[in-house]
Amino acid sequence: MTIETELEQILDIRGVNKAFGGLQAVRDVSLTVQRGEIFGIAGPNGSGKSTLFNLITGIPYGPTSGEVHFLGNRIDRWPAHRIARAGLCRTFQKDAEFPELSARETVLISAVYCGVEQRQLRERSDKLLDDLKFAAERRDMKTSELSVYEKKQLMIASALISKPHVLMLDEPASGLTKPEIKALDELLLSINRTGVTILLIEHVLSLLLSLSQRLLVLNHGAIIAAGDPQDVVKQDVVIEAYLGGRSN
Amino acid sequence: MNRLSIFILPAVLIVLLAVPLFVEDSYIRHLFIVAFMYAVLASNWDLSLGYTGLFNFGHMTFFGVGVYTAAIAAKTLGVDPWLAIPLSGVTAALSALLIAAPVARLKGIYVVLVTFAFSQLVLQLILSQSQITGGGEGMVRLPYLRLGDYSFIRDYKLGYYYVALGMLTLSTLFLTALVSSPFGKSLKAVRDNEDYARARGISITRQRIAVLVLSAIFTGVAGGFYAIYLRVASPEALGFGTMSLTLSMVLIGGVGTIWGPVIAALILIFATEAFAGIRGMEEARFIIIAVAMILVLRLAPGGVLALLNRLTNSTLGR
Ligand SMILES: Nc1ncnc2c1ncn2[C@@H]1O[C@H](COP(=O)(O)OP(=O)(O)OP(=O)(O)O)[C@@H](O)[C@H]1O
Ligand SMILES: [Mg+2]
Repeated sequence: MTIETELEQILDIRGVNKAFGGLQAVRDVSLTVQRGEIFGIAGPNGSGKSTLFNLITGIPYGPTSGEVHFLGNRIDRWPAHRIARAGLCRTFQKDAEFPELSARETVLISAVYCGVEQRQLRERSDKLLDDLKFAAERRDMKTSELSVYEKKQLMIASALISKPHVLMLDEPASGLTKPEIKALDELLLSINRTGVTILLIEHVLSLLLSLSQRLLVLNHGAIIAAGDPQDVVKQDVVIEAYLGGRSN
Repeated sequence: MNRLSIFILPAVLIVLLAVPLFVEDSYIRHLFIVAFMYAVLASNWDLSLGYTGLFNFGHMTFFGVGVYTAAIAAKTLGVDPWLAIPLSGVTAALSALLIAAPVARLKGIYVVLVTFAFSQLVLQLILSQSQITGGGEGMVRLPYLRLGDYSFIRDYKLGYYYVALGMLTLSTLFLTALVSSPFGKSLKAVRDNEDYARARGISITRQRIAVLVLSAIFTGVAGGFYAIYLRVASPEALGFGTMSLTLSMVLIGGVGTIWGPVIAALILIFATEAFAGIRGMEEARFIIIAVAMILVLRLAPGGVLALLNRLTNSTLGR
């Protein structure tokens, strides 16, 4: 009743696996995420980070074996849209967009199916886009005409409009300039302060280290290190995995 | 689209309302009626094919179900034709629900196969149940529309003209309202990025079922109307000719636009009739349609509507 209530487990992943033919992309990964934290995930290219996100969100597939528990429910057999509606929202590594919809429309349709009331929606989406510093005059343009940074902002806005419990970000900093990364850093922190738990996959190490309270490193689909970010990045296995990853 | 819908389309409706004042020839009126009917078929098909990106090749099944519903209801069961026509919308929607269940979970080419197989199945059903449907001969001399003592066959089809125009107007209002609603936007989202859409709580399965059912309603009504108007129900409704003509309207008009197929239906019906009137060209009209289709797809992939939009935007400024 004392400290346990503060460290509420929100996401509990138990021994998940995913194989593509002979390739074991995710290997017996277990982890728990506490409500309110920023949880970092690192690892060289092809180590299974995105696949792990896919397994958790069911997009496009769930795990071959293992269990995913979210807010006390076992969700690894749920259809993807149900997982999203339950409050587990992700972004994609490759820029995802609805090219023919505007920013406003993208946010709108991301909300209605997650049960946000339509009456206050316009106001709320405008406020959210304001918070994300999304230029007001560009909100009615087709998404296909937006910049890379704006598309990323929009992907985050569309995830946030339904007030998810957990926001999962797959390399949000890739393709961004230094100042944009700094802005992203501040943005993620402010989102986290509103009580949203964040799972963050990132190659930009500075961002991971400044933001995450805990860090997990994958290599060849398996966890090779986990814990305090500053400690983790100093471990030999981690340095080796990164060096080995680079030389390939 | 905006400029087009605000200025030009109401004007088009007024012109169409006035057409019978100037056109007394019952054959020309007949062409308008047929064009209105095809416009309903094509624009509703565009909802599943263009807006949702669902390769539904069973759309004419909904039309066929509508044709036979009205025929059987009006002739065999003695239902008032005024009631039989909307009833066709109901049965068509139900048949869509039937096919939607398996289709909703399939992808790409499998959707084509299953929906096409479904239309063949319904066709076989119609042919085999000849006691009810008249088999290959179809059903003839169906009851016609009347209002009190007034028969709609009189006055050179004047009544039918306005019923068809009313049907097209209702259908188009229904479709435009649908595609501008959040549901309509979500269809484009599903079409353009399924994974992203699912990640935002949209159920692909439910959207597809909804789209098939919604696109079947006015398609069925059009079938019911057509049967009552021509006083005939024949298996040709499900034939390849009807389907390819409707499909060419969707493609020439511009997929995912709703208005495009409506405009294309009017153009194509009159264009093909014009060629049919020229001796030696009777069969050439199919070639003309095919050539038009290829030209549009090559030169203006957005279809006729995109072309019109460009024109109006440049003539109306900006
Ligand atoms: N759909 C798929 N089919 C086959 N193999 C796949 C598929 N998705 C991923 N893989 C493979 O699984 C492994 C893990 O890929 P994943 O995308 O999860 O890596 P990642 O850690 O996200 O890499 P990156 O840093 O480049 O994004 C890779 O070897 C990849 O080629
Ligand atoms: Mg990845």
